[in-house]
Amino acid sequence: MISLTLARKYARALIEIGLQERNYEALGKDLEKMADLIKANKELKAVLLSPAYPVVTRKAIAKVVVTEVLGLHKSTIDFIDLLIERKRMDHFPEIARSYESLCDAVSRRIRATLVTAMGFPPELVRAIKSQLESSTGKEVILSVEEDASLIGGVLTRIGNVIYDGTLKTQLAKVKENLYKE
Amino acid sequence: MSKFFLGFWFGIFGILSLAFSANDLWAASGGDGITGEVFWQIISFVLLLFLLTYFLKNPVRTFLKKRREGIKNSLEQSAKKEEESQKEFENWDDKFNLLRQEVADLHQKISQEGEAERKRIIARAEEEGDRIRQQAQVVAEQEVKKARAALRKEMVDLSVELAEKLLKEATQPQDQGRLVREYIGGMKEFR
Repeated sequence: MISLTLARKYARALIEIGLQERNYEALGKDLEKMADLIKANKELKAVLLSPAYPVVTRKAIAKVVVTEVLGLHKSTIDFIDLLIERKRMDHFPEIARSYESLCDAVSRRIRATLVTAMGFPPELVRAIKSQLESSTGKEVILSVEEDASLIGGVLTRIGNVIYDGTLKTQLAKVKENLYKE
Repeated sequence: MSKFFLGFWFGIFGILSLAFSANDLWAASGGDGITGEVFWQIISFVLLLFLLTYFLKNPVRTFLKKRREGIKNSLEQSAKKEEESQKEFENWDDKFNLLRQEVADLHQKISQEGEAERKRIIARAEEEGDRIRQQAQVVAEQEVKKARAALRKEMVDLSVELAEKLLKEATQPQDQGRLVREYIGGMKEFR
């Protein structure tokens, strides 16, 4: 909980900069890239998080990585420097997620997950996305996952809200009704 | 002089007259008659009698009177005691009768209470029996319901499990497409 609060605080600070510089979307992508890199590269993560290395060394390594490898914006580089200096790099994944949420809110965007029992034509995915955008009045970023345990049908998850149209849930309802009878 | 003494002296005189008559008779028949010694003995005897009579009359009378009064008092006291005893006897007899009546009443009361208690115990036992019977009935009904519910659950579980298995086997991509289209149709109601 403390980590989430802290992450929101840093994310809000960065998005304010992004809003001033009118590049908050780009900064969000920078954070996403950096988070992916840290997640993929355990050695880099160990170096950036370990207090065994001096702050200066960690800053230098981060600068090399973020400028030469990822080619991030200056504001992102300064932000990562700040996190290393304040020993908050261990919260980087949460900060990136919080930033993404803030970015979505600013852009009037929502993220939804479509879970399906088996694959189905892409035009139907688009139709679902379109229907969601029509229902919410916001741009929808839809990610698709597959779960064979659903038997058939799909469900859409937006935050804590779930629109369920799976055979698994229908069977569960049938079972519940039969119990009551 | 009382009649007693009068009688007494007449008696003495009579005795002496008889004695002298007898002496004359005896002397006339050729005897010597009463001698002077005998005469004086008789006189002494008479005097002794007189003195005894004179000095012992009052004490004897007083004694006899006291004795008579004592006997009379004793008789009166005896009668009184008898009367008291009779009263006491009657009193105890009444008490005894009362006690006997009380015992009889108590016996009857105990008998009635015993009967009432017996009835009460029987009523309570019947009530308890009814309650236990009702409880047993409720428990039996609950057990039946529970068993029925468990059976139904098992049946439903098996049916749904079978249905799930059949659906998994039978659901084809075209079915998935149909389900998704139905889902999209239903999404319009989300607004």
